[in-house]
Amino acid sequence: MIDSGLVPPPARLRADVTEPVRVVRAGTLPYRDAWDLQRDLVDARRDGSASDHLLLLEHPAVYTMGRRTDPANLRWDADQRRVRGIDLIEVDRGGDVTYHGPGQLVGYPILRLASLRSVVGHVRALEEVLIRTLATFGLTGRRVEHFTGVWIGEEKVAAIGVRVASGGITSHGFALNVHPDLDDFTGIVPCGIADRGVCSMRGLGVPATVDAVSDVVARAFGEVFGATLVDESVEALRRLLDHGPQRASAATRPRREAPV
Amino acid sequence: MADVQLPQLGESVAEGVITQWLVEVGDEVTVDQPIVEISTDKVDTEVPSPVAGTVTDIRFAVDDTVEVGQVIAVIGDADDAPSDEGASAGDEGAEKNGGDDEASTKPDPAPQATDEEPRERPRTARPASAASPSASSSGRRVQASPLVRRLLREAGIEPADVPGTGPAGRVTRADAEQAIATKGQGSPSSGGSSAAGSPSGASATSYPAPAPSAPTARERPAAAPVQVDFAGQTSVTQDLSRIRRIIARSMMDSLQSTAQLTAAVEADVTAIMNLRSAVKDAFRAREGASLTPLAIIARAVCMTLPRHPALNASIDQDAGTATFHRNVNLGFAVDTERGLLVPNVKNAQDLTVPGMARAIGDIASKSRSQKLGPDEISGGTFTITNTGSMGTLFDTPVLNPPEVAILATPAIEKRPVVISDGLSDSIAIRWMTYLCLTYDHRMVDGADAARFLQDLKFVLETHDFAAELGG
Repeated sequence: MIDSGLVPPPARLRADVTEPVRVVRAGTLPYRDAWDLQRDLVDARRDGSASDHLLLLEHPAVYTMGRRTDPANLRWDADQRRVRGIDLIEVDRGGDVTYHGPGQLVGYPILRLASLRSVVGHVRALEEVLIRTLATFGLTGRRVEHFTGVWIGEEKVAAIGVRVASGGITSHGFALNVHPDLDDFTGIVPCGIADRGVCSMRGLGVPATVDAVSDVVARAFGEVFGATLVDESVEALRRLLDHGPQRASAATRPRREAPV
Repeated sequence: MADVQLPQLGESVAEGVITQWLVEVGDEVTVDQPIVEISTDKVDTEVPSPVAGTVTDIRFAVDDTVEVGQVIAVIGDADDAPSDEGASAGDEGAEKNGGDDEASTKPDPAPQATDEEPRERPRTARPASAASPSASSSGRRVQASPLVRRLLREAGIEPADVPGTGPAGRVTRADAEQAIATKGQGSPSSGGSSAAGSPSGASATSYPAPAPSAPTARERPAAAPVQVDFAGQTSVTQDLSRIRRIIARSMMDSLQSTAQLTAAVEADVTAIMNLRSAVKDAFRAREGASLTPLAIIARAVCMTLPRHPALNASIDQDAGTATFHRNVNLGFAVDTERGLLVPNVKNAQDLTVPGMARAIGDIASKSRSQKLGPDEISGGTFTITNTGSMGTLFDTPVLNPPEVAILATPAIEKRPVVISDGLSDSIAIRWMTYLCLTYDHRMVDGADAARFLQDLKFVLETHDFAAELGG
């Protein structure tokens, strides 16, 4: 077990610890759209035109592979994935293959870290946010040494994968299983760990919605990262990043499986 | 000259793995330009150059594990550069690296309006091979969202057959719904015909829809799918098919090797039927699977079985042992043209109603297309046979050994029933069904069976399944 003493205090996590964190509830956003948004927000955060943000959203069903994902951790071939309507995308984050889909709360904190010394502390802090969130629903989440993420018993309820770009800007983040279709996880070896399963809050008897859990996650994030929270609409964020209306409408465009 | 060391990435972090070099020996770099990417503990971190200069040495390869403080690269003065390249990297260096980094997923990083979905639509301005290898290899690719594809697949319509009205001929949800509606008009319409009209079609997944309110001309139910050519003789003798032999042997084994009998209770499923009609269209649109009463009953069985371990078990009389199963591998009897198949859904206790609905649809379609794997027809621990799909009122199913219980879910129909509110009685029209449980009396006593049935009835009549269906 790792004790939560490894979570750095807010001043060692965020470079601009006195500034608020802007929370954007983006609804359901295709993975690539959210990824574009993240990358532009990372650039904006680096050049100082944006402050720290927390994006909270859901994705349509998709598998994402980190650059170091072992292809053997994909159990379904392209045909099987197509039948299930699950996309496959290669991304620039740490970690192995993971699944996102409806009923899963995804959080992308775009923060400027106080220093690279807090890189791992950032991950521990995200775990802390999720453990506190689960506790408010009566669930006991825990850390497992060498297996980043949050676990309930021997099963994983939340996955974490982070990228820190130059300037110490974080992107990607966490995915908390509120009530996803756990079936969709059988197409992969989640995070490359074959001998442990996944679970969801609803499967453990918590009938909460993604919206309700988002509220709690945002509050817990504010506590752990020492931030006042300011709501920001996704439209305001797109305006800030100069995403025109074409970009906004991209959410409704069809997505096709990326060749891998 | 400056050494680039692996930085401290956390209090307790002693090492990291090099995942990617962003520069090569000879490259010029600026201060803070990311030069290498390090992975530790689920974080990929870009490490910046501490100085401006030229990369003169790279000391570790990708996938090497490096300790904190070890020198991983050396940056020399710009003057030391092996200056065979005229162009200076300058401030654009960082941008350039960012661009390279993304090249694997975004072949055309130029204008924002067009760099969406670079692999999805071949662009005329670019060679097809570079723009979209997948499009050229598989003929015409129809543009449609996964949801639309699911809708069409459920309806048995090829996306390529649907005229798309969206941008670039994309098949929209409205197009799909139009196509599904048009197709529906071509076939015998609604009501009881959904069961009668598809003898081998939907036995495991669909119930007769509520009867249409206006009396329509009654259609005769379908004949047996397999007919015999008597060729003028009074009788014909044929060899049994392989699957028929297997069914015959296992049914006889079941009856001869077990002590089976059937118990039944009556359940009021009005709440479930009302919930179903309220959400089934949205459910189909969202999940791409039909919300059948069977899926809800199967879910209820999985919520009930763990409280009655003797029914999710097997017995070995010779060895004098009983084996109890923690997981529910839920079998479903599927009527196919070749005969009965009983594939099972592994770990069904983990599935919510949507997952159950999809799992049932999945094994039913695999059964009919003969794509079941051997592990899908073995290892079952409890079976449901949905005889209600054909309108059967009551059933005594035969056990599927070594399982010790099988539940038949016969027809759900409106009946006048007596409702008591504690003060008085009244007669109401309710959706009613029987729950028929065949059990092996060697393992399960009548009281055990009754307790299970009462528990299942309680769950069906009182549990609010809306929480699992609300999305």
